[in-house]
Amino acid sequence: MKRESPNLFAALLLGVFGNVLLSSQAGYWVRPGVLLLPVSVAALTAASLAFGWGWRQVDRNPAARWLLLALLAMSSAIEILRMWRLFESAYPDGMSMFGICLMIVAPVIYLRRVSAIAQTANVVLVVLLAASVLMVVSIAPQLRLSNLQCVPLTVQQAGTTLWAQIVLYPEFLLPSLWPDSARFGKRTLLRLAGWGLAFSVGAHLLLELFFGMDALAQENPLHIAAQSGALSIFNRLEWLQLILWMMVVTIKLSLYLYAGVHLMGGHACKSENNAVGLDRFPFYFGLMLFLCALWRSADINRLTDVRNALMVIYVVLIVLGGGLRWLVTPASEKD
Amino acid sequence: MPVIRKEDKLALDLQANKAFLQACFGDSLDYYSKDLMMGRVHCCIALFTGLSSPEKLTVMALSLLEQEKTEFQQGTQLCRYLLTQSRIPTESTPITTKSVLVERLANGLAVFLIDGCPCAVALSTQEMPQRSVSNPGGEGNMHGPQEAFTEMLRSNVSLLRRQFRTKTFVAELHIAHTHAKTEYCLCYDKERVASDTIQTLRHRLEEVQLPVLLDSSYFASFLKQDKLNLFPAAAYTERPATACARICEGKVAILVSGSPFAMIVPSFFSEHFESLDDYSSGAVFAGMIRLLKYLAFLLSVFGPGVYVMALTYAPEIIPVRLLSTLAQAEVQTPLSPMLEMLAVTLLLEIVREAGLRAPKAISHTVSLVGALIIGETAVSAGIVSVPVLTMAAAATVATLAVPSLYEQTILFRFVVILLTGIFGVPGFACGALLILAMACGSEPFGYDYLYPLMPLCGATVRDGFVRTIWTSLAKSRGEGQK
Repeated sequence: MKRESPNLFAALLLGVFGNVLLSSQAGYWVRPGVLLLPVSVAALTAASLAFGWGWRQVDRNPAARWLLLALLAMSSAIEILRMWRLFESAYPDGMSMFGICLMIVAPVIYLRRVSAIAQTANVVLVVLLAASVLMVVSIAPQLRLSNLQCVPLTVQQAGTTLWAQIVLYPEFLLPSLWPDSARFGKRTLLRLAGWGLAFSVGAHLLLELFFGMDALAQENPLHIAAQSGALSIFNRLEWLQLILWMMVVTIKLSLYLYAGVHLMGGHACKSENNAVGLDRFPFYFGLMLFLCALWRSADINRLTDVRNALMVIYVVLIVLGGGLRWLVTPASEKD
Repeated sequence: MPVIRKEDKLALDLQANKAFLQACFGDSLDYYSKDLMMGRVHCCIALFTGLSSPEKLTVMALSLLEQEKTEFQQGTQLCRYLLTQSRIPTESTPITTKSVLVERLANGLAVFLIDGCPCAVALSTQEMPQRSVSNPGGEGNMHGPQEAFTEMLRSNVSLLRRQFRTKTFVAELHIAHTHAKTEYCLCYDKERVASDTIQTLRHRLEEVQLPVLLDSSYFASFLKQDKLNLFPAAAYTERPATACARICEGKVAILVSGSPFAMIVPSFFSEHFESLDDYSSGAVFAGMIRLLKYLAFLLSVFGPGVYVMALTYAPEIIPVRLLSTLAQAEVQTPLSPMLEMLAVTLLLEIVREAGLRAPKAISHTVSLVGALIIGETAVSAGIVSVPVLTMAAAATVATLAVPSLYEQTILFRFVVILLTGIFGVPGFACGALLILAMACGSEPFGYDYLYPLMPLCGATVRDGFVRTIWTSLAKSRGEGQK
């Protein structure tokens, strides 16, 4: 099969799934989650489309590019720090921040082509789904229907769930950056939001079946649940989950790096398919290490909230800026 | 048309041409030349005795020329007669340059130099010492053809041509830019090969500059897009049947003179897990064997790493009874699991290399001493534990289930052991993703290296991880051709 135009949808979807898997519990209730799913999907799609429109208007603006670049760098550092915290909690004596940063960033060297990112994301997505099924099967005896909550919902619970669903992750913005080369269809953003939120609802349903009311009290509920999974040859399965999550984070980072290089003015290598030159990796690794060291002691959840807020502000600014640009542009140049 | 330099042109004078050959090959043992008169024209026959047969020359040319009643007056007249009128099977085009003259002689042709004519005539009288077609030594198969390529390029092409009886089969001869001017041949089906693939291949091979070309594998590095990628850019076979099957799939077989291996490009990951027997055996059995090969590959690459990771960093994943057995064994050895595993794996590699390079008479002894005696004594002395030895041995045996990926498997195994030994679970994840990214990033001539395994599609189960029944396979291939 010829690789003529690699499709990055799997990488984006993996990134969205990674956000669901790695995010801490945020008071997400399943019932309002299901009910609000269409609203959230519509809201996310609309926001992404609006960003795409605004981005096309302000495409050459260096400030817009550098701001998004900074947000992507921040997101990358947050992902690394989150993995480091997770590994620290699972293996307290095992891992330094430098080691985790190195282990996450090193494979990006082989993920510098867009086709490599696309194909690796396809494989990891399949493995992630297969492993998820395996892990669900391994904890199946502990999933109880009686754990499903039947108490009446409050407006506050619905609001918290909606707030948790409509987080504007960088993955929803990235399709707007390279619309021509990545073969995205018209409904890409809708599909991305739909699959992402459906996965989120599914994961939270499993958590409620497993923990019941306690699901909201767990900091890393998916990881705790995975610790109860066992196969005859393996006593616990959380290591498998950690390995897969780390792969997901690496692919997210490689996608952000590809987008970052694109934002900095195109491709470092000769052809479209060669996204990132090898000479940029020491700088990239140094930047990630610096940011991780800078936020080493920070509260990851708070940092994530700040990133999410900045992302929303950025999108609003781009849409407003795009609107203004559109208004002042002569009609003959609008097409 | 290439421009011919003046000094490269053959002279009108026979003595000048003879002097050139004498200067080149006069000191060589196998160079033979003989002056003779044809009518009134002075001529000279030159050949290499090991490559060309004087008997064939006598039967094919000299006896016929003796019977000729024409009285040749001029060299050009004789040359024209030999090329166009006589029954002597000469090459259709005359030799006009010294470089071509040397090339024809080195190819085993006899050359007829004629006085008064600035060209020579070549006669196909090759008779080279060669190994007969024998069984393939490195590709075991129970069914199917049992013949292998030899070192003779033309013989290898004929082995392919015999199986590929269509007008679309092409065997393109090229001369490599090496000091020895080695010949290589691109064999493909012009209807099935992608035109951009063959053009790119021709272009890339044309640019290759090598001091020497002894095997088609020398080209492999030049065909890689990413030089950091460890996965092979091409597959190799010594079986004409396998090469023929690949050509039918639209691939190109590269044969190099003097090498009994054909290089197949483009090559995909799944091909390393296929064999001719897959298509002779039943679909269910063939599918099971293929799955076993994939498992063997995973075991050989990740098995020792998982062992080191589990024992050093994540003992909680091992069931308690197994863990106590492993812990007891590890307590008695002074080295850490990572160092133990590295030492044993390195030792096994040394034993393999010694067994491979040692003279055949003692290679079995080397293997026996290495594998049994050193292994046994190392365990008895408490240097390595039995579980480590078992895992390393299992990984080594598993490697041999996919021999074409041997180099990669060994390198990956070392990387995974080192990463898991130093960094634990994240190290394992990093190693696994590095390997996966390498496989996914490989793009032989713009094709997906993991096709048809990934992305998942109908072909994945048709002839990927497993093989479907022949009736379904034939139908799908027929549809594919349409």
